[in-house]
Amino acid sequence: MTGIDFEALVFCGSVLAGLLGALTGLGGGVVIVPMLTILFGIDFRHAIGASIVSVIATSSAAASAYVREGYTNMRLGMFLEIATTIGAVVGAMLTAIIPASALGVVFGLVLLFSAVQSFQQRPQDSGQVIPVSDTIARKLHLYGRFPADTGESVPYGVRNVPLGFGLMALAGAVSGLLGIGSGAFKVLAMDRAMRIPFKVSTTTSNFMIGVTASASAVVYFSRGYIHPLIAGPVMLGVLVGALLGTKCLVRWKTKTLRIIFAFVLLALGLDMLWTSHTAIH
Amino acid sequence: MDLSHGDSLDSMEGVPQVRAYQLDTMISIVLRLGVSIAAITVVAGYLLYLSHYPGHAPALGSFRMPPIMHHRTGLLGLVQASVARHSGRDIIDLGLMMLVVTPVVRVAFSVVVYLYEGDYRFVWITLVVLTILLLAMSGV
Repeated sequence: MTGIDFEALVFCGSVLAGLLGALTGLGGGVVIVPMLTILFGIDFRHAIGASIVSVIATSSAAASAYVREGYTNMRLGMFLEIATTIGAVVGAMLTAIIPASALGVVFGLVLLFSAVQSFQQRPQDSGQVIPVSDTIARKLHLYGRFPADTGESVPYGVRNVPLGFGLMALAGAVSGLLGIGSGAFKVLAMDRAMRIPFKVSTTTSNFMIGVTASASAVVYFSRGYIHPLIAGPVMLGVLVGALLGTKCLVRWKTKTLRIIFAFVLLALGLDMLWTSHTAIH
Repeated sequence: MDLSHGDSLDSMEGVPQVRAYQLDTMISIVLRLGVSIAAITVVAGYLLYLSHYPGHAPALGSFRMPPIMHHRTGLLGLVQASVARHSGRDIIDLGLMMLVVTPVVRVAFSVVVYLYEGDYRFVWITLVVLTILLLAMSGV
């Protein structure tokens, strides 16, 4: 395979990664890493380097659209970023102490379990429930409005902020420890614990994952994990895919997005179990 | 740009629509600018690379540490190393770094916007995030 052929194929696969990442708020790692390692035989370290670049590309490109469309809850996102960034730093420090493989098995199983539950529509998705917020959410004005499937702007509340904050710290620590899956736990924390509408959960997760990933990316750069000829085409492909994804999220029903999310979560859970099994460091 | 401080005083339930809308628009523009500049740089670097090595297949299967980056840590060191050698690959690297920095610029920018709006609670919140990020990036 010549250089150009390889780059063109990587570009196309990355379009898919960006599309799924922008639709689900999970980033594109679930597609990028298996594609590069299994399909192209790229070194695992170069693959995770490209994957972290894809997360930042998806996050930044999609967020610029979602923020403008009024889906992203920026105040909530920025507040929760305290938890995720501290979690990520602590997680990265703990890699020497905690066996990542054992942890990967636990979280992989959590994701598989969550995937099954994610198929169900939740009451807050419709925007028909009375918006209820807890004390912290009211104090910091974390509640908001979002464009519901009906097209109208609907108010929603944010509940259980302390629990959500704790889960976000855990999400950050997991991404610091395992290098993958930070978006999944972010969406789940907002969807399950804080009970905010699904489209707001995924777009706010998408907004946040770029920040967590950018801290890790510098470390990956200095270790030489980010190869320009691999991460370059990945980045460009992901950008195109993410922009396509934002057009779809706005038009598609929440029900459809939940199904896609559940399948990607399933793949992510299996990926996490597989990675822990092979345990490459 | 007018941030209309006059309207903000009679806010009944938190952030008035006008201000929230303007913050949204500005953050959206910052993100799009960062991504666009990074993408253009990567494309330019790739074209330069192709003009030097037409049809050249890169050795991608193996992994080796880049020699120059061994002893350099932190973002500044990386950028210096990249600019010092100027081949297409390094321009791509530079574009990738611009992308990596975009979320950080977004956080820094929101500190300024919240400060301008007088939302001091969120100035502190975003400052904490920015500090942790910069510490993590500087290789501490």
